Amino acid sequence: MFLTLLKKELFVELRNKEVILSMLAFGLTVLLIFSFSLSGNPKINHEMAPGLFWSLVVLSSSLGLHRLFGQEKDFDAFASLLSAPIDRGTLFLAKWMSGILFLSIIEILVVLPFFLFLGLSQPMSYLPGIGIVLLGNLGIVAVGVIVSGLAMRAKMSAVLLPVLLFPLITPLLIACVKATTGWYHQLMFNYWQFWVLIMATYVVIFGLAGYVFFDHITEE
Amino acid sequence: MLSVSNISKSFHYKPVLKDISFSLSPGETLALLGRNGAGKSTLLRIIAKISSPEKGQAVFNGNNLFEGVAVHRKGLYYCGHAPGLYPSLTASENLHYFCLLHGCETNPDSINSVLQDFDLLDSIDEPVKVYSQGMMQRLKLSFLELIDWSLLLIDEPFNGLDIPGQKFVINKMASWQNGQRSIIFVDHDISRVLKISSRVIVLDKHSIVLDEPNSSSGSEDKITSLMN
Repeated sequence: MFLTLLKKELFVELRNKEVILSMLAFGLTVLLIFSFSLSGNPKINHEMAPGLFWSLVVLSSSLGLHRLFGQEKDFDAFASLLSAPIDRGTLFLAKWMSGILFLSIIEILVVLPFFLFLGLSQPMSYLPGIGIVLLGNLGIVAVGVIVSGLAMRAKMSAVLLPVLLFPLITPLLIACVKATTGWYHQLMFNYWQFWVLIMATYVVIFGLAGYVFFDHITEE
Repeated sequence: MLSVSNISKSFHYKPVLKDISFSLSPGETLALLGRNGAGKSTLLRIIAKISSPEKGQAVFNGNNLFEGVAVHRKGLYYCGHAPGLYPSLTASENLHYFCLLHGCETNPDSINSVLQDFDLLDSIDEPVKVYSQGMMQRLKLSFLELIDWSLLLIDEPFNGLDIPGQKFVINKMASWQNGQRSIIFVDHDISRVLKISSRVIVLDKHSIVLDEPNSSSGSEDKITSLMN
């Protein structure tokens, strides 16, 4: 059932390109604003790069997360989903995985312009960075799906989503920035492993909470 | 088949349903009547587990629907007021996907045959967002030909349908009634309700004020007086 739900998420997005295009357009706009507003000093940009990257990710993801239930909301397909004999936790998992996939695609697309526009040097190794980004995505989207599910039925869901999402992911965001700084500035893993543990804890807590409580989150 | 007991629900401290109890036997077609805001649609959504009640329970085929076990909803099909479809998918894609969610396999031939029966074959490749309200209503109902259901909860099945469409749905509902299947539907047309249903429940002021088989004498007068 999980694969059926996930396939549908990807198929609907492939047909609409609603989530990915809105996130990409917004992400590139934010990146342009960053590159124009910063001093142009590569040394300062290098220092600020991890914070700027995660700001870009969070701002783009908030737009995509708002549209994550857009197709279900428009014609109340969500009611058809909820009444079907499928486990609501599985519904959460499918939304979570598809959200991670969409966000990862955006990150792949903006990472090269990010380094180019800000005149950043290439990192020494990519693998730990990919791990940190994936862990960050898991956490942001887990919280995002829960909040998006909660806000979906609200009249002002577009406003409610960032208002609820940003405070909830602030600790995660701090951990993401600290871990990325450690990796990008080539510090020893011992110095930033604590932040990776916080990220992992966030993923486990919100992933489990979403899986267990999505039943209650989605009911009217 | 279905036993609903003491269901209560309120929105923003305003009661919508108060201690609703009734049971439904296999083969029964129950019409829910009541003025706007009486709680008919909410009751259907609670039984379908889209909305949660403040108290009460609903037992379907011996299983408590509110326990949160998905498989307990197997055989129950909810057809709401809204289309309940994915707007960017075509009719056949929607049919295929929701049939899979209800544990039923489909093939292109069976889908085409059902869509032809519901006069939608010409629009098979168009996304449902371009469909008229009547077409969406027919598409919603076409699911019932493919899905293996035993209890249908349907909110205003004649909404948006023209006269031939309404006749078509009346005939379909008659064909669905045979056997062990039960239907609970919401409608506002008393004469049509009496023609289709075997039993009528009237909701007023959030409670059941009438629950009787429509074969009883003077049903229409009683219902009319309660609805006015």
